[in-house]
Amino acid sequence: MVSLEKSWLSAYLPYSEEERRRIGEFLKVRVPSYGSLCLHCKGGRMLCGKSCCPLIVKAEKLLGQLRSIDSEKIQGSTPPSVFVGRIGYPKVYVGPLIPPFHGDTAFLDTPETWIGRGLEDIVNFRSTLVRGKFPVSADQPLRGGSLFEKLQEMALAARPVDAEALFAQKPQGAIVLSDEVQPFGPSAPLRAFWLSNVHADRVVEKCYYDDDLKAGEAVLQLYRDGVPVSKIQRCFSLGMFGDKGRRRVVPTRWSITAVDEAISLSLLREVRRYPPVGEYRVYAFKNLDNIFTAIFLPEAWSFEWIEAWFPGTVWNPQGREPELMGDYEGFRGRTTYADVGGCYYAARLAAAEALSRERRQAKVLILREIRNGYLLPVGVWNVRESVRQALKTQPHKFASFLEALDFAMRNLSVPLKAWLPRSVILRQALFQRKLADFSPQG
Amino acid sequence: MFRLVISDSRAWKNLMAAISTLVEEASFDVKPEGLALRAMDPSHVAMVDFEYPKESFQEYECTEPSKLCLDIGDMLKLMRRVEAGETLELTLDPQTNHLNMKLTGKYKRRFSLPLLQPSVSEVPTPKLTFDAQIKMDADCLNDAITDISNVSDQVKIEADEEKLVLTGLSETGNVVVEFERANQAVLDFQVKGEAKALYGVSFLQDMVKAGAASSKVVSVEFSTDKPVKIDFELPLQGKLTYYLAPRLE
Repeated sequence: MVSLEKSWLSAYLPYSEEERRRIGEFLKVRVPSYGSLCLHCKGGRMLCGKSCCPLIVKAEKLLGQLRSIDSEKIQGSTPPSVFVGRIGYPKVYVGPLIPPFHGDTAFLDTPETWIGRGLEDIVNFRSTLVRGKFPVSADQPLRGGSLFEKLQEMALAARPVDAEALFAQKPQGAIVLSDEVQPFGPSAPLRAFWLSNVHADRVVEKCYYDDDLKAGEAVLQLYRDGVPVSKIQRCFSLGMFGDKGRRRVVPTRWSITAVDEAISLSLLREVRRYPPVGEYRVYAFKNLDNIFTAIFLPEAWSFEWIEAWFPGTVWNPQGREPELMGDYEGFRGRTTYADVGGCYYAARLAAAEALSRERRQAKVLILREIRNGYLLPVGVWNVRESVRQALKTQPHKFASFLEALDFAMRNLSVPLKAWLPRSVILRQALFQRKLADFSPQG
Repeated sequence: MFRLVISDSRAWKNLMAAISTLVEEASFDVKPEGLALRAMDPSHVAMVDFEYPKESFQEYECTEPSKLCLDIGDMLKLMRRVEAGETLELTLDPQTNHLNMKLTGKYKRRFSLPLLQPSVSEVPTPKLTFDAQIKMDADCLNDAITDISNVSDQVKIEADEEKLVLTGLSETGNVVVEFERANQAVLDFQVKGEAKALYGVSFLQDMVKAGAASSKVVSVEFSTDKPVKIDFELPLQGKLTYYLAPRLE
């Protein structure tokens, strides 16, 4: 780690001599062990191919944030928001995320409301939240200590909670010199924190105190009661549901996918019994320079998700052609973890919700193009909320698959011949005949 | 009134497994002359046609035709630990709407399974004529298709008057399996001209593997770019037949 002023980044940041002394040392710059293109680029040569330097965007936000924190104490209204790290599992760092101001801060950690916000806003939301951290054993949430109990109490809140935190040192911001790390606010080890005005969410509280209700069932029950996925996931990550002896703390990243998976599996059990949709459909939606296109086929449920990372985006920094990756499941679902990871499950949840609402099933193919304006990955919520949004728009309807496909391809810049070898559903639809094609009536 | 007894419950389990390769919910036609089922997989690419006449059972009683719809995966779960030589008795309990399964071996075991609401869907038999009809050893066919499934997700089946050739092509590598008409695994060989078609290997593999557990002899019948019919011989006019639609190149 080096301090900011010794790094090339300082040249891009508008801060004064005085500020440099005051906060410079609290903004650290870390070089990832696997090396980084950014070291050669230094923000000026645009080697990563993005439209502007994601590091400078992050650094500016973080700097703005550090300006407003000048002690080991912070006061503010937490949305409520928590983070559970995954490094060192099963010994993990957990803690509250608190912004340095009061008010209705719920939006800061409610991705369900972020559609339509620019990348700038999203980075801002993330950087604003100051993270306190302390260690717990993931497998012993009941022995997490008083800090941990308070954290659970906070997570139960229905509305933002006024909080005050005392850190072991002044919070530091870290910028990793790599364009593939999600933006994060400053953080520091937590000594103590105090809450006032906690109004527990009754529905969630009931599941928390139910020692016999299994975690999976609690998740479903809350979902059916209309609790937002992000809130369920937050409590799930703190090991607040399940059989008393079997509760676990779950790193935030894993808990998001666990909740997406549990809910979609349950919805799909019903969806598989509904009649198919009546026609071929194409839905399209754009968010943060990501293009989402969903094709519904009037057939039995199966699902495929394919993403095309354009040259210069996070997972394809050096390529000349878009890089495609995806995964598929048939009618009976899958037994292995999808290669593409969390976004598969987030997208599948959105698709299952839409079908369940309509009481229909369909064969669903969702294509995502990630273009250069997507400077940095903002999280799996982007996929869940964008696909949800896409499937709420009025679809274009077609009588044949070829018409639907032709229309869908007009929205996309990756050509059909690139999607085809990656897609099970496209190949099935184009090449696999059905038995009815050979029946007497045709 | 419906009741049947099967002397070899292991064989019954294999047949149920053969049906479960295509459907989760099986809707049997229960008739005085026997049990039958015809079902398509959810994607309508494959179909199973199953008949088990009353002579195949040790005892069989059915006074009026009805439908028997059950979750076949659940039935297999209950039968997972069935031992060879155990006798299976199935009866219907109209009171609870359950199917009762009684296994008699060294001791008696009783399971019961809820019946499902039968879904109404007519499954037509495809009208097909076949240019190639080849009867062969089921295990050999199973091995050939397993070899191909290791490299490819589709299998090309070709036949002329001399031989049957199964091919799998992929980036990983190519597999070609040949059965000449004189091969001892081939029991009967009738081909008019040539026939060639492409099929999804996973369906084919599931079908042949499940069928080979119940029968030693299989006949493979197809024509160019038409569905393949895979027919396993069962004792006493029992019937286990699959149809699979082709892929286009």
